[in-house]
Amino acid sequence: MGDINEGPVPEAERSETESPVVIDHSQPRAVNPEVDPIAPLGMDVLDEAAAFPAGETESVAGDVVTTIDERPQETVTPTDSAVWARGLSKEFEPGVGVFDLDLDIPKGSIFGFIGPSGSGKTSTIRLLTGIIAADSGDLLVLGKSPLEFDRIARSYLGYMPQLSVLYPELTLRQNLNFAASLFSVRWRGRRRRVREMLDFVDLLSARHRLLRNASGGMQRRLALAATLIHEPELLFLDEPTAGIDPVLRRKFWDRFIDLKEQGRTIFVTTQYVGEAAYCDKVGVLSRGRLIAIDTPEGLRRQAMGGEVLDVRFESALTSEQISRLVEAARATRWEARGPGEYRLVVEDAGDVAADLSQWATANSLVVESVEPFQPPFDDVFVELVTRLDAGEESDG
Amino acid sequence: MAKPVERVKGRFMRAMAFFKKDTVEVFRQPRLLVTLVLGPFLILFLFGVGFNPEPPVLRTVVVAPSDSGIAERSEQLADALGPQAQLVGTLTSVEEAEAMLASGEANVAVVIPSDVVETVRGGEQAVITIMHDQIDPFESSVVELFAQSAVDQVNREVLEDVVAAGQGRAAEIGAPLPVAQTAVGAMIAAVDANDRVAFESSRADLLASLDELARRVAASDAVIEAVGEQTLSEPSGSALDSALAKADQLNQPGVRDERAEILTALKQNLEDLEADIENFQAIEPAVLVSPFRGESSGYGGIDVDFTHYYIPGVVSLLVQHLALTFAALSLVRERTLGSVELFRVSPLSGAEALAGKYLANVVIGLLVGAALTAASVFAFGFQPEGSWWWYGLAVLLVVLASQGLGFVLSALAKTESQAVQYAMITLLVSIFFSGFFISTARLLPAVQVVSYLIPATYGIKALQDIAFWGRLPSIEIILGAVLYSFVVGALALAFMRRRVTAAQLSRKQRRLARAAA
Repeated sequence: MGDINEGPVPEAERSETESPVVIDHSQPRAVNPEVDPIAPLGMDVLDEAAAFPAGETESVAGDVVTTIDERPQETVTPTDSAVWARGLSKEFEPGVGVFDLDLDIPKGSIFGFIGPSGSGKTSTIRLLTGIIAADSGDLLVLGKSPLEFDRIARSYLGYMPQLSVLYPELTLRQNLNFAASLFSVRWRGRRRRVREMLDFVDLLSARHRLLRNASGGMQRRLALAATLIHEPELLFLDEPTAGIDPVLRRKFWDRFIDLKEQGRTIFVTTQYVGEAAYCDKVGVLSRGRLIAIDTPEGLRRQAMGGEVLDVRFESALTSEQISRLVEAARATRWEARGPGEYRLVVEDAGDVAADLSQWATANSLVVESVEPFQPPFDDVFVELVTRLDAGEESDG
Repeated sequence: MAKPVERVKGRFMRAMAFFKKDTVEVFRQPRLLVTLVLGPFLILFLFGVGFNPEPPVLRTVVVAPSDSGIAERSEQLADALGPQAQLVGTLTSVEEAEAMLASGEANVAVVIPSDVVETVRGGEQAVITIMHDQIDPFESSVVELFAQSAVDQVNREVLEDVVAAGQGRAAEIGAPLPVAQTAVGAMIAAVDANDRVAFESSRADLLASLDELARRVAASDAVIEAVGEQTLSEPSGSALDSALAKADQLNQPGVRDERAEILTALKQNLEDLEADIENFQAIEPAVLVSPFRGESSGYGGIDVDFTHYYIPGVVSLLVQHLALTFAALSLVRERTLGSVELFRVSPLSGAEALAGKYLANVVIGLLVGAALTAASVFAFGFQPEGSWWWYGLAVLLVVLASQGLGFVLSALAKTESQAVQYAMITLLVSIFFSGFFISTARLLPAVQVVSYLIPATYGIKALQDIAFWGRLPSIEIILGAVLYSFVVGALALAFMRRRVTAAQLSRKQRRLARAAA
């Protein structure tokens, strides 16, 4: 908020708000959640997916996509948390890595992970997918430690790396076919499935083009299609929208929301802070540490110290009038934005808006407008990181 | 547990995905194929076509004293040295010859000493000096052989002259022989007629002619005995001695009744002597001087053409180079591209990925091996003596062993250019140590270990056995190649597992975790 005037700011508390996402068990699940019968750490058994035959899943178009059923016949499902971590740490070199991550991502939700470049987002994904092992901490992904993942457990995962890892010498269709084979998508129906995914990412007409001749945006779109080809239950998407146009980015997010509504869980990192608004919960990472984790609204409150209200009076207020205004609005911070225009940080914008009208009348002031202000997530992010840096400096 | 059939289907599908991907990737990069296969093949092809197995022609000058008589015969001498020597001048001064060598006008100077007769009479060999301008050790050794051959040729020429002179002298030696034969005939007639006077008269003629014959033989003894004894079944000297002994016997008392018998034997001795002299004159001097010459032929009638000999080597080397490079590049590319990150999250296992890659490389390697062999058949008329099936199997073993080595090398390479460098170094090592240019038998036993770390070594030996001997390769070679393939394959699998598989608990750790749960 620029040169904001600090009032008596209450200590920000980490929100304990649960995810607003409600898992709709009536929706078809991506993949039959049968996992290893020997569930580690004694996870409870759920039975909500028993209605879906092993190896089948409903696609976007309502078609049934089948994968070769390499999974066990017994039905044992893990906890409600798709990802659960406590004190997860991995240090690559002194001071570089991820430290003390606590995560609890409910199934069927979108979890956004934002942070500056080099903050540890990709490393976190690599820890969660089992590509690398943590130095310390506890971690369960779909009820299992990633270090214990076998091929069955991995068939539930989808991973879209940050950079294109597909093959430049293959066509887009061949690349997608390769990804389908990696995850054992059956030959029967595969052609239709591949076409459907190519169509979804607007690459159907370019399917015979070599990947090396495709643009960066096309390559990202293909990578997303390759991640979704086997309809995974838990998706790890590392900056999926980087380098693609806003229209397609919106389409991607619509698709993510569709997938969430189907009961799938999405862990997504992004460099577009504004995309945090699409997430059910957002974690903010800085220098390997999770500095905030909350709903998008909760993060705004954390960053700004409350809700933000823009008030415009007919004429500029005196210093005394401003002091009384701040007192009446119980504002923790305020900022003059022009003659008669003030931005206040308050506990509850709705309550304060009503009170301010009465206060103005009582003080012979004319209020032209009172509007809540939604600070962009870029500002929220900058505010959170700046505050962390300031805190560390004062600690230092 | 998962159905075994489904599990196998899944494994097969993932392995085939790698097979298709790697095959398509290779054929989509024609320039890579050209660089790796056609390039080296064309180089070796040009070498095979352009290599002249004959030693180079040496421009030769002869330096001889003007009064030696050799100067006049230098052209004849050069002809006798064969097509390798091209006479470009006959000089009398060594300095002139050195100037020609320095300017490159001549490659070789043959310097004949001026005091040959005196040196030989002094009981020493006269030294013919050969000077040359070759710095290549191989070419130098060729010139040394040429020099030795030149000196031998000069010696032979001298000996042939001596022998020819001896043959001319043999006619003179035999001149008294008809007189002796006539006398013997007259003596036989005198015995029959019991004419003592005629007998004694003829005996005097016989003794006189035999004495003359003996004197001439004694004068030419060196030639007749040195040459004749080595070539004639009955030495002419022995027949003459026998004839002289019988002539003396006729003069002894108490042989009157045996005279006819002695004269018949004497007549036979003279006929033998005449035949010996005729034989000696009829034989070519060159044969008398060099009665033996060598001829070699391959055992079993095998005569391997120079170009054909290198075809198994070229096929083995290029197939090895290709399979090794593609294998190394393929894995390094997965790593640099970042695909292994995706593999680690997928159900893919190292064995599945490796199986697919092996299969792709086998297909590509066999295709390239077939193309190279076909080119050899059509361009050089190459036709193996043995079975084509065994030939194909040997190429397959080279492919399997080579790509295993390629996968192992890829563990050391961090970038594609490093992988290519390792492949080129392996090719270089193979050219020297695989038996391609020089036989592995010429290497020290300790160094031969290096040879058997190269897949092409097995391929070259096996293909040579099949192509030239028409027999199966030795069991040591086959087992060696199979064992080699297994060892590098196992190393490749361990490496691939480490690359493709995500971080995992050990089995023991898993058991402990389950027990704790």
